[in-house]
Amino acid sequence: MDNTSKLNEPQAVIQKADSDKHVKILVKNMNFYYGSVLALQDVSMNIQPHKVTALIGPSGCGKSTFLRSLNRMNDLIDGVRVEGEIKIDGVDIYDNWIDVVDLRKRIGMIFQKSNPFPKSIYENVAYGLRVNGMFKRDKKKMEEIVEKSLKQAALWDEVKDRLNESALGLSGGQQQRLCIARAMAIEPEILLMDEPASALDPISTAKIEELIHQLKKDFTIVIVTHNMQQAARVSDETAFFYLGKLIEFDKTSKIFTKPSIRQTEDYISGRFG
Amino acid sequence: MKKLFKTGEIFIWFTGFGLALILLMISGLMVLVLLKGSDYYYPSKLASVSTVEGKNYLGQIIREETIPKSNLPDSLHDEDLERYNLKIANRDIYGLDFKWIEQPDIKSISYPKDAAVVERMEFGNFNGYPVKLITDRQTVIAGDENVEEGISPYLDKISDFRDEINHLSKSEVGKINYKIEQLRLDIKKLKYYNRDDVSKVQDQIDEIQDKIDKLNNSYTVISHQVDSIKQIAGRYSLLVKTADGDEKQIDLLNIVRVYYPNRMSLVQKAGFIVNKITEFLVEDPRESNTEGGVFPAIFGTVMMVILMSLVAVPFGVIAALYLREYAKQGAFVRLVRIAVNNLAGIPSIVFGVFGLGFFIYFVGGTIDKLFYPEILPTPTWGTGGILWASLTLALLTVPVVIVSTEEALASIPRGIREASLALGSTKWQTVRRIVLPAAAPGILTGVILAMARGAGEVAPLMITGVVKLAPNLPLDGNFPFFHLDRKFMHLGFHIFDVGFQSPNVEAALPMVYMTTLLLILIVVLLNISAMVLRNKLRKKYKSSTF
Repeated sequence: MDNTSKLNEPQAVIQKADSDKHVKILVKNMNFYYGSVLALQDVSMNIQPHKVTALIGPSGCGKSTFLRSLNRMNDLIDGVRVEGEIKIDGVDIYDNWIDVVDLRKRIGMIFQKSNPFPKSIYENVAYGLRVNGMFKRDKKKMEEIVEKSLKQAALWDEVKDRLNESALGLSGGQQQRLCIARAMAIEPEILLMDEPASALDPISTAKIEELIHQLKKDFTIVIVTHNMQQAARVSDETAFFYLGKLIEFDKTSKIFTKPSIRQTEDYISGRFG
Repeated sequence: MKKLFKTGEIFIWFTGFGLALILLMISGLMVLVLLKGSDYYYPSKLASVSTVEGKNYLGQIIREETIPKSNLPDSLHDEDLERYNLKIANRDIYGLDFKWIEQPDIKSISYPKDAAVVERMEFGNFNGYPVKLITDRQTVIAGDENVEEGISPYLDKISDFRDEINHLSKSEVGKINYKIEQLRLDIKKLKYYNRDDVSKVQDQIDEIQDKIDKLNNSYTVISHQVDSIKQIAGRYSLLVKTADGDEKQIDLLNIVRVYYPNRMSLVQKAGFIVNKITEFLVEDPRESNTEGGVFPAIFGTVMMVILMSLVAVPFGVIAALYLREYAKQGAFVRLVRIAVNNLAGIPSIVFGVFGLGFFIYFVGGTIDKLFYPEILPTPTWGTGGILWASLTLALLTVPVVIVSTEEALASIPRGIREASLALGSTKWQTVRRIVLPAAAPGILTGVILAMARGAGEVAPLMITGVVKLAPNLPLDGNFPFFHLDRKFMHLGFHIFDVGFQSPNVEAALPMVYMTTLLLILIVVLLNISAMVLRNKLRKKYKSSTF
């Protein structure tokens, strides 16, 4: 399991991934501090590739913090400290030699509030490619990828005639799917979703959930949700967080039918939280 | 009553009242300026006033006032005294443009149809009754109505002559003078750098001297041309009778226009107003700025504001970017922020003094020492000029840009920054491609404020390069076209100068109000154009909403 080759070579990282099919993200004894406040305590879990892992728990339990530490989004906040190990494909992402920008290219993220850029629909999807200098000259290839991403996000049919219009003119659900398309355009390995459907109506939510099912075969998905039914519907594995601790982590079917810990059962059955 | 306070209705009334008051004050200001300026562009009626003493005056009544009898010596009056201020013009005859006439002294007031105002290039207006047009001592047109109809082709012709003279003596001679000056400097430079042994470069000097002589020759040719045109134009003159019956002959070359305000139709008046306003906008000033137009001042103001923005905006935006996006937020950054805010509140004259000390004496002086040692102590850059004035004003307005840019940056939702970073873009890419474009409307607001402040500021300019009358614009056809070392004219300073420093303050007052109006309009125009741009950007970059 231990990372032996600490080469600053994405290629090496990818090869490592092939050799280890069972664990995509490994978290071991992780503590997380906001300044002096301990937000996550001794979290350990293995997230498997091509599975949907749901993180549930009451507000403030640390599940979003956990999610955001997987692509080091928390680095943006002053006074944040991480202890323990977080390894993706066996490489510790908090190692000094890790380039955060490269890391984030491999890990897409969808936020709670849809946040399209104030640009055209096309430019939104192409943004990731442009900042990474991909297909600068190959306009055709760029268009192909934009189309493919929008199709993957089940948005193509709705927007194909107005790619050059502002993304801000889309509905909430469409905006969120656009954000998914945007994240997929740079072909990450992992998709992190932070309550992606919490601000959407049931129909849009159903579409997003349908999408998650389809995306599973290409990506490893970690999703934070407040909606228990949603977790039950979309995920293969479920982790229950409470007060900064990982209480239980198991197959979704097991967590929702016969959880082994009392707190989990109480939460799922709606007795608190 | 209690309910009135509870619902806050009374305070809503208060706020409405406050707004109404402000609107009233602003519109009042505009109306005042327009009315007071109207003497400049409106053809007021000419009143012929004959006094008890048997004197006659012809002029526009520009003010009437009543002196209450309590303010008058008892022995003289037992009722209020009314008096009129008459703009009698004819400065060369009366010495003064204005005369107060008291009601008891007046025998009669009439508005004769044949009274005319002759606008002259020099000595201000002449009020009188045109009698005849003379060419080479021969009467060409005589009779009141005939003169009015017949004079305009002559005036047009003379106006062409005048334009030709202007063109020759300003552009052509200006070009030659500029070249001669440059050549003279070349000689000085040669002499200076070879001061040990001037004989070595004597050939070159002679060569340049030849060129100068050639230019001097062409100068003589042009001045002969000017003289001959003047001679031709000088053959035409207009004979005008004053109110007292004296006759005065005025060269047509000296006449801008002749008009009969007492019999002008509405259409003619409208045409007159349009003419006057056009003249105001496009002509050079005459009569130590109290007549003519203000074009050089408009040009100087706009050019200075543009130069200032070119410096202040990039610097302000870059500084704000660093403060907000890159600097580690802490005590030091807070301190810097406070300092920047305070900088915006420093009296502008202080900036002027700084500009004088730093830009002109230090920077300009150093440039002179290094690059123009041959003509010292005559300064080239070490004296006021449009560049130094613009830089000084840029310092003055940069805090405004910084503050508003910082606010604009802070208002960009965290979400889209995070989205950009999560896509694997660097901080700089995020700033450059997402944050800056989205903040553009807010930044533009700061630019508008800065430009408005810069356009209206006068005090620092007075010591960094503004002059009453600049012989040349800072932008002209002589290489290298931009002459940033030149002094320039400015509308704000123009107001101050015309209104308070000119030899004939009272006659210049309408000009003051007109210039004020123009300055307001220019600032409004700058603001409107920036606002249109901002709204366009805002539409494009409005933040996401559900």
